[in-house]
Amino acid sequence: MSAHVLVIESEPWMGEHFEQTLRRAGFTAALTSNAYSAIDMIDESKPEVIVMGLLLSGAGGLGLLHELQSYSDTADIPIIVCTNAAAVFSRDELAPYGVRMVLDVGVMKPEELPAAVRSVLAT
Amino acid sequence: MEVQGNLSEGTRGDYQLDQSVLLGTIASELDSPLVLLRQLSMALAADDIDPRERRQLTERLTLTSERALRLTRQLAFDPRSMPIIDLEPVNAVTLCQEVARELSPLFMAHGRSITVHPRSKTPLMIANRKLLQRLLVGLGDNALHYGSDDKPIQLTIQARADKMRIGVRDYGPAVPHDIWQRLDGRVARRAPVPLPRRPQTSGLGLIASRRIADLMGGVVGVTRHRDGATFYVDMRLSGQMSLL
Repeated sequence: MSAHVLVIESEPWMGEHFEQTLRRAGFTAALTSNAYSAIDMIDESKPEVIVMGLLLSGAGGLGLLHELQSYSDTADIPIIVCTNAAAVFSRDELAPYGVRMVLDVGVMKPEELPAAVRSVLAT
Repeated sequence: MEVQGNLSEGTRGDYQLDQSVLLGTIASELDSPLVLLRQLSMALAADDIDPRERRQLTERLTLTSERALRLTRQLAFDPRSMPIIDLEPVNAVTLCQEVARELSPLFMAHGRSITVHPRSKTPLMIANRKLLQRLLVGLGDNALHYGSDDKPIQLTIQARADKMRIGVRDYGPAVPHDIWQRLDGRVARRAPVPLPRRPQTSGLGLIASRRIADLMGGVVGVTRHRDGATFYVDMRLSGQMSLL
């Protein structure tokens, strides 16, 4: 059975691109654009991996990371951050928020996203 | 309850950016569309996409590059290149319809819409048609990213005692009550950072809009609503009808 990945990205076309890339790689992917609906979707069906940007409208990516870490049933979801602010947010800084990998969308290739998901699922 | 805030009329050039700051902020604003263009073009190069997806990706590449170009031109607009600003009586309804027509392809590609709040008869206002159209396209473009999916962005037209107010109403996250102070403070600090809750813009487009409005004797402001915001520009009404 394919792993369930939730993509949270406020730029809709970027989000669709991530979602399509993951589906092509055999994952079950769902997409949302903001932190509030992400919480609802996680409550409804807990994803095995979350792929998210940090600059989200509304509550913001860091707010969502805080929220997820606040509950025992969501704190263990591995998170991959895809951002064009990778130079500002390092993996080490975000690790306490459950972030396993930080991908720089300015340099990453499409195939690196499913590879990253497989990598965090394997660990 | 609505809370309003607008720019007090200052001297021209109060908020002009110097060249190095301007270049830095343009680069910062262009980062997102460039990153998107790169990802979309790599997706287009994949072998296993069907013709429908290929068409969609091509359309998105075109619209994203057009948006980046609009942004660049608005931010890089140099008032010194227009030493004389021609002002003329302009019909607000016709202008808003043109703005909506220009933005419609981008909105439709996002599954959204932009409408002109209908007003059959409005007095004319004094403006430079091209500059005001550019300003409104910038505000509309900005609003695209913040409206809820089921509500259209509205271009609203209101004639007041001595001015015409054209607004761009969105239904997105609230804007900070001290938005102008934040923007001015950031310019003073030369540190472009996103506005809280509206992260896809650094607000530099708003500063450019203020600069353009100021050239025409207009004022840019924002009305905060519980369910979004209206960014507006106030222009002087034309007195030509009183001469008849």
